[in-house]
Amino acid sequence: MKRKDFISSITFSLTSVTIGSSFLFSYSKKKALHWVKLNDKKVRCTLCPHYCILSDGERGKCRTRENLNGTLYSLSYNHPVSINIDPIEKKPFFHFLPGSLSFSIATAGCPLRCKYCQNWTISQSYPEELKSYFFTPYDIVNLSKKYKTPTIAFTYSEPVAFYEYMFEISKIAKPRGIKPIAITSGFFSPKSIVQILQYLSAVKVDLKSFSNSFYEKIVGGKLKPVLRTIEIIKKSGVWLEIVYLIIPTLNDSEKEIRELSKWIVKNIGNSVPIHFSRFFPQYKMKNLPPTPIKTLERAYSIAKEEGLKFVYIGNVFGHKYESTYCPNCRRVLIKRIGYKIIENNITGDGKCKFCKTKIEGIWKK
Amino acid sequence: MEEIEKKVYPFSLGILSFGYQIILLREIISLYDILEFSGLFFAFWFLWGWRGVSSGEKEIGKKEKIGGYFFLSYFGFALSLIFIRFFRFILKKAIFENLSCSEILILFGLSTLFPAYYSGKLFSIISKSLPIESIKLYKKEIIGSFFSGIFIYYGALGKFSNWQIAGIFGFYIISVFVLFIEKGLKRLFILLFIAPIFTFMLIDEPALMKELYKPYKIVYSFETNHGRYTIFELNSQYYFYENAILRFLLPYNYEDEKRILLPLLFTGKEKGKLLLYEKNPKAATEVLKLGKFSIDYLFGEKFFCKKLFTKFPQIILYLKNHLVNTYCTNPDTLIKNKTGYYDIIYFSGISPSAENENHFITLEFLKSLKKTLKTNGYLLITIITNTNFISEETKKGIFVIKKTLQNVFPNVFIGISDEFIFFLSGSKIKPQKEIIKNLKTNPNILTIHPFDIEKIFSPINNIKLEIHSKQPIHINTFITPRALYYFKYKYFTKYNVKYFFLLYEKIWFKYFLSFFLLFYFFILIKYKKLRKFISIPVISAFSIYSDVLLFFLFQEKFGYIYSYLVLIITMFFTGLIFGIITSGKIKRKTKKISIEILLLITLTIFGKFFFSYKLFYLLFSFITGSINSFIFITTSKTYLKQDKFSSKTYAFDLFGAFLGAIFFSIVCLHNSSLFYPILYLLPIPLLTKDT
Repeated sequence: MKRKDFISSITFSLTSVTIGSSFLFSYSKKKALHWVKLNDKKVRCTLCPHYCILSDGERGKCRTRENLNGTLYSLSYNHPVSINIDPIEKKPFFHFLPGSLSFSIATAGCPLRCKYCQNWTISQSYPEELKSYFFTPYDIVNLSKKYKTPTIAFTYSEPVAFYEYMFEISKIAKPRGIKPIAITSGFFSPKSIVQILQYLSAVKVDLKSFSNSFYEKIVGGKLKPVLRTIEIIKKSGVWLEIVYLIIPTLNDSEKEIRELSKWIVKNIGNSVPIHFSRFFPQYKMKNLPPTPIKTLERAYSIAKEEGLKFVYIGNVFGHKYESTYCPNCRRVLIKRIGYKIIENNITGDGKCKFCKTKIEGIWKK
Repeated sequence: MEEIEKKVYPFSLGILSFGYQIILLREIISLYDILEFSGLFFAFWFLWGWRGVSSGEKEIGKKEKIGGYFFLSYFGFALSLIFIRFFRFILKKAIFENLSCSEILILFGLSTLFPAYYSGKLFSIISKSLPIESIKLYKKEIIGSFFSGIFIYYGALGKFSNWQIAGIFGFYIISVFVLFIEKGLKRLFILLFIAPIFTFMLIDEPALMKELYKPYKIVYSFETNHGRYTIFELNSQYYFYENAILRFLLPYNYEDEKRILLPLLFTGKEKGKLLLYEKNPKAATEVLKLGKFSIDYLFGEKFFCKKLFTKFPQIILYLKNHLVNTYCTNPDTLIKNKTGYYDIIYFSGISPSAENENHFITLEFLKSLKKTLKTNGYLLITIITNTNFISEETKKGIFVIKKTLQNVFPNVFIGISDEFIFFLSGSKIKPQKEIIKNLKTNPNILTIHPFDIEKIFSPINNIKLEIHSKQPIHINTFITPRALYYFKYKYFTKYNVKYFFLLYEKIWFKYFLSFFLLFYFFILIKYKKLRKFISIPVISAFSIYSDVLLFFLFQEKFGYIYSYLVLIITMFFTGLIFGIITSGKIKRKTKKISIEILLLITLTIFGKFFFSYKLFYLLFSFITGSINSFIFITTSKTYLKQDKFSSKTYAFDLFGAFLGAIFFSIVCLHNSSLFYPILYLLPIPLLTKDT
């Protein structure tokens, strides 16, 4: 073989491999929603409050959105890495179809960097780092139908990181009678949360702290946009529950809990369920001890003092404050131990069986 | 005077440098829980030591400098000890927050810098300033290290804290200088100014710790052979820490009930003899909700139980039942003479990323476990890992466990709940419908949802366990703990060193290693001048590798290493002394190296039959130490064409140890077993033959 032939054959092979591999890889890309074009093939992603400005070939903080030749793509579309069927109480939703199961999915990526993330193996990874399944939005809806789950939950990592996938699934699922629900940190831009809310039936927001410095140091985000998201969700009428994970010594001060409770009562109303969850050591905070039960009980008392009607203690199986109590007659409405419902005293039309007080929530499928 | 100095200086250097290493390493392990990085600690120690020796070589040797360097190395050490404690605060880390990879590198790099560097430098300065043969200096230094090890193991552990042991070393230096070396004003200065500083170090350590761990209140802290136990209290919640790992907490709650009882429901048994391993002492009485079992409960080691039961009588309340026998011993000892004894053996909440718990899923342990189980008995193992998402490595780890279990038990079922459940038995497990039916009528079990039962064998689990990789699945054995490797991968991921850790999995890396091996053989045989540069570091690398591996295997076999670590290293030093003394008396012939290396290879190959004996670890450490000396001295004599070795040779030795520690301890440790590095030793006898 002549040198010229050799070089041309090598060039040909390399080109074929490059084109072939780019074709193979392209199946996972989906043109992203919420971004604007800038000069020099740069783009600004407007999905979350990071508002990343990305040059050609750059990836956003979420690790799932990439600028390719001046167009922003989502790389997690069609590629869930986690599929499970969970009790809805695990999310936790206590006022939304109690006792039902939820088809739960997640992809890689997250715009935040929580040092105590429970699902860090997914959230702190790039899509190409993890072996994923290939399920189109139609496949997910069909699987949910197959397993007879009334809801599809976008959970574990952060739905913001797979926004387009969540959007398409929700759009298909809702007309088919399956309720899409999101378990999120609330780290959305106003436009993106408004758009997705038209298809969601319930949202659980992880409010990680009521201090901006905690968000900056431990979470890698900001508090204000999360509070704004919570307000938008409430105004939209989509069912909302809030979880506040209490981490000993970091976000457990009485002052912080009181300020948080006051803010909720003032801006969202006193009927939003709030769950004070127990922290268990995870990821980079594996040696931080689990939250003392007394700390959780103190948080419960403060929230009640501030006028919140539905306060729960989470991740403490068997605790009496896992159950729902009627704000009027104080009797047990739903008795829970962990994810198990022992007793349900809420009527079909969402009222207390004993005193007929209306209990806020979605109780019927 | 000079005769005293010739003896005292090298001996003291040995005492101190060895003491520094052990105390700093123990301090790091007990505060940060990063035993898996101990190889890196030694790597840094040798790196700085090597630099110190090289720098001392360039300096003019003056006797007057020696005292100053001794104090510098000591103050460097005390500073390192303080630095280790305050590192979290320097980084503004939350009290128990894990360190990142770069932070670990900074911690190891800085904490070893001064003591190792000045110890190395002292070696060179002493050898240059005193008319003493380097080989004799080396011998005396190693004798010092040996005594240091003996003092720490038999005299100090369990009696004094690391901080106090450091204080004792300080007084040792003062005594040496005041009694033997310094005179007049210098002596007065040491007594008046330096001694009071060291007295501060003898203050009881927990007093200092209490300040460091605010707002947590340290209720109780004690040391045993297994490590440091600390009980913290915060808002009436008690946390029991073993080194830096949370073992359990008081008061308990319901979630343990679900975790413990769920697998047992599938056996359908309501009575019989049960062997239970679980960290949470509540488990033993929890099981009695299901039936009238006679329970042998494995809780912890003897001294731990004794101290804990005295200090926290509440724990005894959890275990107080005539049906529960609590054993504070090693599981191997408990099952030793029992045949066909148990109806159920249940290892609950195993974490295979920990060496001591990986032991329970090795082929060797499972075989002995099978003997103690009745023919129709059940073995249940639950593995703690996140089941929301199952990574490729976790899947591989799970399949390694499955394959290992299948080698011993005929029927293996994997269920997925909030953890992985392995059911093993000669008979079939109970059908789900029946369990759910019984569950509804059992008022004692409150936490288990029918869904929890269905989930364990849900068809969706098959999708979750689908494995993409085509690599062969190996068996998890004591000497090559593959399960540990895959589970540890996840652990390493959080330090952002997963790619480094996974190198051994890569095919290209294996080609690279083979190519490197061939290249190394070729260089050694072809270029005689390079032999001294290569053979000394190679034997040092092997020695450090075999020592780190012995720590690792010991921990896997016996469940702890904390105190035995000192003995293993001390035996290595004893071997070194033996080697030096023997080499000095007998005229060395280079061909003897062949016999010595052959002996080492034979011992390594047959070693696997003796891993159950603690003595083996000491013996092997001793033999590697002495062979290290033989080869070290013979090769240095052969290649340097003189009867003594220089500090340069010592520097080569430290450099090799650095490479061995960094390379083998992270990349090869869990995969290659003891055998692989022996390949590197093979050409050494060949090349010394014709020199």
